Amino acid sequence: MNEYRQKRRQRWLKYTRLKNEGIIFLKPDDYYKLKKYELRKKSKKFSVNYKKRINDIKLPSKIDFEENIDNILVVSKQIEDYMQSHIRGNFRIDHSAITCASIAGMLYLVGQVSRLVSQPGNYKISKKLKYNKHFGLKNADDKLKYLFYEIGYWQYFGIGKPYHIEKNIKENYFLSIESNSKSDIKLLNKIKKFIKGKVSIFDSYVKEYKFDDAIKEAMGNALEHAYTEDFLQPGKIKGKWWICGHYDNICKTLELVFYDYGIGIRESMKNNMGEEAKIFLMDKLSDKFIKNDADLIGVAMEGKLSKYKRYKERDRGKGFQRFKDFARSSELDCELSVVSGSGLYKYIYQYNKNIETVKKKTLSNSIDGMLIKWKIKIGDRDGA
Amino acid sequence: MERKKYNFAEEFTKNPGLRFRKLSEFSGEEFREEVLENFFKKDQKVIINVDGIESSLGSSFLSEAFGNIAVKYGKDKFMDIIQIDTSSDIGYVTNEEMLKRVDEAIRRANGK
Repeated sequence: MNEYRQKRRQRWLKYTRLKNEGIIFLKPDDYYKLKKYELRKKSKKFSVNYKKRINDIKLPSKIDFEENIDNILVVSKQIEDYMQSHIRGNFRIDHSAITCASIAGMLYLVGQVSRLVSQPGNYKISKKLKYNKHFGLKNADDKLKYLFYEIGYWQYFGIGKPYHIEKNIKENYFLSIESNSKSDIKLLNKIKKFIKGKVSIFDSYVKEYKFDDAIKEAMGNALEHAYTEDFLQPGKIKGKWWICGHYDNICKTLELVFYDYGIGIRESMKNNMGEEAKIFLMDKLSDKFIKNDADLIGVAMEGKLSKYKRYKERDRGKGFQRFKDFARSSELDCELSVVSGSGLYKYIYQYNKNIETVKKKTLSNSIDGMLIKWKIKIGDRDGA
Repeated sequence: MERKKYNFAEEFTKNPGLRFRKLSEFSGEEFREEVLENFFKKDQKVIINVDGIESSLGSSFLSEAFGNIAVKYGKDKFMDIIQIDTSSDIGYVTNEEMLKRVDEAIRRANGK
């Protein structure tokens, strides 16, 4: 194709030269075709100074849901600004600064970046993204590169093997990112198989039951409460949820993360509980004090939600309790973090000391949707 | 009337779903309407064997299926008609969880 263009260009230059020198006056057969091509080249789009509109989304150096949670909020804002802009050009996601990331951070990123990919009208990029080494994991170490690859971050966006993977990074096992916008009970069996293959935490059926229940409740919560009937937000698919996991055999820690980019806990309560929600959104001691999002998660976690407006007769609002039940039933040190809106709720259970601690934090901004993370310290228990 | 044996994994599913039909296949709602209601209408006592399931009968499933039918027919009738085979670990745990969900549903229905 380039050769054809070069020849065409040479013929045009020859024709114009000969014409200027007064040697020829007849137009070649394909004169208009050549002229159209040359005019097009002169147009703004093809001029040297023309710059295509590209939106840069710069990812921070540390992405996690612990100390660097505010970094995540910056990413959300950039993506939201892009989604809300009237003129959307192409976008470039700059990963070059990343030096540290957790699986929770990555799962959140996947959810957010998927909004860019599935934005309406962006049919060209809805198929797959391309990896550009200048904007890829330039400053990440081999372990982080391995983590991004093994968790399925690149694969999720149709990128095969973007860089060389060191094969000597062992003792880390990943349950790659899985996603759906419907229930997927068979996926639950896959997750259990992953866990059973790595560690023997299901030594009695009650533990397996509590695990099943927690994941099913997270799925049900995403499908039923995270998205309203008329849910319509740019780049988002109603009912969408993601899950992934990681087992670190050196630290003997199992992590599972569940994420949805739905309406978050506050809107969900308003939607499900109608007038009853007012009781829970306000502090009971004072009508003037509105409960923060961390408090709302706490209320849900204790199973103290009121009756649902559509199902007043039914026993509902206990799903969040199941997240906690699983943490407690594992008979291991466990952390459960739930982040929604601007609230972070962390439940820490120290099995040996039988101590339960709850920490709440109000974030500087809101996250998009809800993220649930279980972190179980397996300790000296033998792997399976 | 002799107590009928019902094998959950073979006759319903190995992978029970979520609460409502709109959320998943083999939901608690489906099990209540398609299976449990028939036992109550026929006054057929049943023992449900849950061995062979791959994923558990989650709390939402139990609440929707067993909790609601216990509220509808009353706990005494429910306990008379429905039994879960507790001879296995799976059966024992499922039965314990089912009874909790039934009690919670009845409490909620009574406004407590």
